Amino acid sequence: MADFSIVGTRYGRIDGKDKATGRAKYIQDLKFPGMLYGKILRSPYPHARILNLDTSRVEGLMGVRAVATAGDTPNKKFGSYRSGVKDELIFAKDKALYVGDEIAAVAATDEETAREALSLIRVDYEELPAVFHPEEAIKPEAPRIHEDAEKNIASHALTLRGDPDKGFREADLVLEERFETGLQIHAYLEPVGCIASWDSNGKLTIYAPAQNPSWSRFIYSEALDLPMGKLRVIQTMIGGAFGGKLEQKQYLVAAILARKCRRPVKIVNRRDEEFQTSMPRVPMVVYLKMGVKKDGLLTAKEHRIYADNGAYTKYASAVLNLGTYRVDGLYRLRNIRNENYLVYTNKLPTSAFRGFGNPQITFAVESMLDQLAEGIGMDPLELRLRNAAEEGDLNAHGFKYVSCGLKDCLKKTAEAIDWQEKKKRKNIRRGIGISATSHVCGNRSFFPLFDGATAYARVDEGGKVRVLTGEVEVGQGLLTAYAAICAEEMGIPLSEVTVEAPDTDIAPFGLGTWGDRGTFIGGSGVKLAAADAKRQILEMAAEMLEANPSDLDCREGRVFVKGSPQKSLPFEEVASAAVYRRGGSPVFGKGTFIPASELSDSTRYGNISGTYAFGAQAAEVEVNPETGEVKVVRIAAAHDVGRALNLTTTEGQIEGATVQGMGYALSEEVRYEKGIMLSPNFLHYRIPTALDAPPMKTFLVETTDPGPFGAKGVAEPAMTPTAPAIANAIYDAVGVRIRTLPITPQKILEALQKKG
Amino acid sequence: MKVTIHLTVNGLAYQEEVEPRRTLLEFIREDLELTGTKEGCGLGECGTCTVLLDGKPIKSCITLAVQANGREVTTIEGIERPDGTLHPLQQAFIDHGAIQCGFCTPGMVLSAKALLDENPKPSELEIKQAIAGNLCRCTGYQKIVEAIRSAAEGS
Repeated sequence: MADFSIVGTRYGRIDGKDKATGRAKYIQDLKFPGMLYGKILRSPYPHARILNLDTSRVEGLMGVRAVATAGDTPNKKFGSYRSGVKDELIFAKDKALYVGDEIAAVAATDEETAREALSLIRVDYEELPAVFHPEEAIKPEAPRIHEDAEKNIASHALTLRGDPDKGFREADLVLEERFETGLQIHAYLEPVGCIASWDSNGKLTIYAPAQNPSWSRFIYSEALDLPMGKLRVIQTMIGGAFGGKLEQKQYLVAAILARKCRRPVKIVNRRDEEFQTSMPRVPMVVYLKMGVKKDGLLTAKEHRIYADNGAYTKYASAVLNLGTYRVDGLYRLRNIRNENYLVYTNKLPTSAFRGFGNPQITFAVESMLDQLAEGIGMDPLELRLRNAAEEGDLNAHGFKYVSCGLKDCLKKTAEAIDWQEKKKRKNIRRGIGISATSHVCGNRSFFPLFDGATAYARVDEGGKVRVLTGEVEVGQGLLTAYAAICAEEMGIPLSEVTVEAPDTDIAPFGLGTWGDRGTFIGGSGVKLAAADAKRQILEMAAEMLEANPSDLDCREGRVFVKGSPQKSLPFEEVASAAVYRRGGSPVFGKGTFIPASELSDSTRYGNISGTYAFGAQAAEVEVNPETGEVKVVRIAAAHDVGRALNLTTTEGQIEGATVQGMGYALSEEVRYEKGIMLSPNFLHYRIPTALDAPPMKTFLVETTDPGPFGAKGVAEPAMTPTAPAIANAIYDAVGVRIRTLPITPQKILEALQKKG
Repeated sequence: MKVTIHLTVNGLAYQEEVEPRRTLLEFIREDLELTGTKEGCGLGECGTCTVLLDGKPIKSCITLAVQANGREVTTIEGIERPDGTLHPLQQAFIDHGAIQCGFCTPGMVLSAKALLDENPKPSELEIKQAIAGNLCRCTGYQKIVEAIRSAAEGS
């Protein structure tokens, strides 16, 4: 193993002290002089024609500074980047399409006045028939949600590889099942909020916990009909995102209000608005067919998915079409037919959530694998190992696995859960299950203009290094990872490096934090920028020490001559000389990393990521057959992380994701009645508490990878295998297979009764 | 009509005029500008607004400011030592990776402090019970429990 001083060890986060002392400022903590507070009037109906909208009683109300409706907006339809569908407006104009749809907004001197003003806006609605499930919505007789979307289909895609019919003919066992996954809410603890402010030259600045500051400008500029150069996004500290803090309509509403009253306007969601209008995980109905030979070789896979888009198209089309085919490379499938329907319903728009389609399809595939294994009398672990991807594989969709620790992950988790012994156990109630996953580290097909990241490393006259990127800390530890990469590369202590949150006027254009790209792509850019800055520092030191730059190196903050370390200078002294001798210019390192990925073709074939992450998890559960309750006794998780940059934060990503996966599997459920969410609060929507979280044992499987110091992503894939591992363990415990998420006690009891 | 309250916050005495329906959270965040206490749900369900009232953890979003009259409030800003040294729990949270996004951290630390002040050597179950009202969506709680245990062992 290479000799690193920071990488691969344990250290605290660089923003830890601010967060531990309450000094960290989130959007809800910020205010500007003269700032007003905005509130949004939302549709109370899932589908209704807006007959009349009367704001006259609000105008002139004491403390109210602006009222905004569709008439104050460009009324230009826009859509999330790359959705290919432009189907939403800032305010619903003719029809409201879900409970929560934006109708109007008010800005006032305080929140209470704004709330009161909303109650004085009069809207006359004509209720329309509504539809809430994709399999209902796609029927010809279903009410049409968008005029131009026939059968409510927002997108349809078919992918064919090899010869699936032949594959099924060659199989000794073919199974077909229907799976369904639930609507999972991100439930980050910091509600979405923003402050929008216009300057006197018509430039808009949005301060917000934005996961993708640079590229969200595309959408805002389109929706506001504003040149991109007139739009600045400054990312504020993010209190959890998980895919839920990509573009927000709320920011646009604040911008419209702020323009109208020429004052900064702040809007922060109430928690019930978070539940009712955030962009949760796309629920999917998966019809899955798979074939296997007696010896365990998988011969073909076919899926048909009906995904719930909700009322507008955010990233659900990408989640469906880019997210659900990653699983196909996990087990060397060659014969594949994937058909995806994204269907509008009169519910909140769904979108990106950690795993990005992978948890949905992987739940189906990994549940099915256990059924196939049982059908051919093979151990489920053996079936997986028999088909598992390996380093060097080129999968059916064109993904090149430059490194792959999948088999090690499977073996490690199995060993940790005592697989061989416990599989022999036939005691009812306790059971074990296993599941694997594969994920991208960035996704070339998402942003065709480029796939990469640029970073700057700026060294000032005090010897402090400041890293600027367009990537985003969402809580995962990205700032700390970048600081570590920079410090390691430059040979200086971690304490000497700070990393800035992006400001689109200053930072490089960055794609932001999603797709597990932050460490692999963004981190590689940081490493190159640090190397460039170090080169300049060594050149300066060479002048000062009268040596050749190639004979110099820097370690622990000292630049020295290799071989004669007594000839050395403090880093700070070299940095200050560099600045003063160059007319005050800071040492400015720049690094651009472009991964060896390619744009996929029209059939979605292509190596879309520079590397791929793998992982496996095994769960042990105890099921109470009287109550149907499931207790997760423990979880073992092994993830191929390339190389862990920080052992503590890497484990933390896996543990946190696993518990989210457990919530997805067992407790997180949104109940609706006629399109109205019955559980828009934490009391009814149960995310795991400290008492629910199981003991977890994590294993970091290291592979040789092209990432920065060999690192690849882990945050997203770590939640994918949890639900299927639990579902498989439940089957092992009590012999019932639940194919819909979440696996509630009621479902288990019903299945047990049916089984008799 | 406003009422006058007298209270101590982080060791400092205050006399303030508040609306009777003003929550303690609003009073702390807006009137005193101590923004370390967070608002995650406003319904007493997430625990991000946890502060100590006479040493006991309470949810300040469902407590009225007037209820703190004559009492002592401790927020996250009040637990560092005067010389700026972190409270052992704060340090343990940093060292053990118990912080990710940080939004639950102030409330979580205060719930843990209340526990350790009363029960310096808690069991793992007691730790989990003490923070069960503080939701965390990032960490999966394991490292939070480890941090609290380590702070308890160090004390």
